Amino acid sequence: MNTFQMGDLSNEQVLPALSPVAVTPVAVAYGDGIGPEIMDAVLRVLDAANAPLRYDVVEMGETLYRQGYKSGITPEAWTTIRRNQILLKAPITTPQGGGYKSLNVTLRKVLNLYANVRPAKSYAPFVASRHPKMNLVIVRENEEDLYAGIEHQQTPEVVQVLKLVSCWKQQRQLPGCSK
Amino acid sequence: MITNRGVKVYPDGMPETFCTDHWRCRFVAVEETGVTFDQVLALLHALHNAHVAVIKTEHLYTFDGRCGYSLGQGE
Repeated sequence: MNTFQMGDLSNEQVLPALSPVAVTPVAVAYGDGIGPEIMDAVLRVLDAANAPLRYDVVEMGETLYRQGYKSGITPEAWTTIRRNQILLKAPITTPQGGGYKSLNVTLRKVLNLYANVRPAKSYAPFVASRHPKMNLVIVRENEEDLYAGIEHQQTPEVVQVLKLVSCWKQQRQLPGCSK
Repeated sequence: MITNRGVKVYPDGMPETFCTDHWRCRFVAVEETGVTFDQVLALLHALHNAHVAVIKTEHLYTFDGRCGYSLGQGE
């Protein structure tokens, strides 16, 4: 290993050229409502940290729904997301009425993102907490059961909603758990 | 349209979508006159003859001109 002392300008050793850091392309969706403001803040943080990222902005959400895209996303956005394999998204609005399906649910069901991982850790005493020793992770399955979203109005008075639960998916949810 | 666990897989499905052995095929009338029950029975008969295991059917209705059924996820 080459050594080099600070201020030793007479040293003839030359620092090896730094390898260029690979830039990771990330699909970015600014979203709706408070989404654009949140995303601006997040990207400022990432830029300040010199994260080696390239942002490929994709359009999705309320504007696309209103333009006639029933799923709230364009084929071009799908292509970008699937190519980059990473999507950073802000909150997205599902318009009320009209039978629109949630794009948030569509994204995770289509892409098989079945685990919703929610850590809950206390940072007491630095952050006041009623539960100073809390340190757990909640994993929610968020594709099946009522997320199947299969609904039929069968009579003027009755609506049926189907819950689908697959044995294989439930077993995959927590790989460390026994059957 | 075909769905699996409520997600549209045809047309324009994605290879990333997890599929089980449970499929839903939605048939919608081209004509605005709708579908008769005789047509439903004929379809079931054709599927049965093609050795397709039909486990249930759902009839799709409109109420006051509005769809009484939800879209497929991604439709």
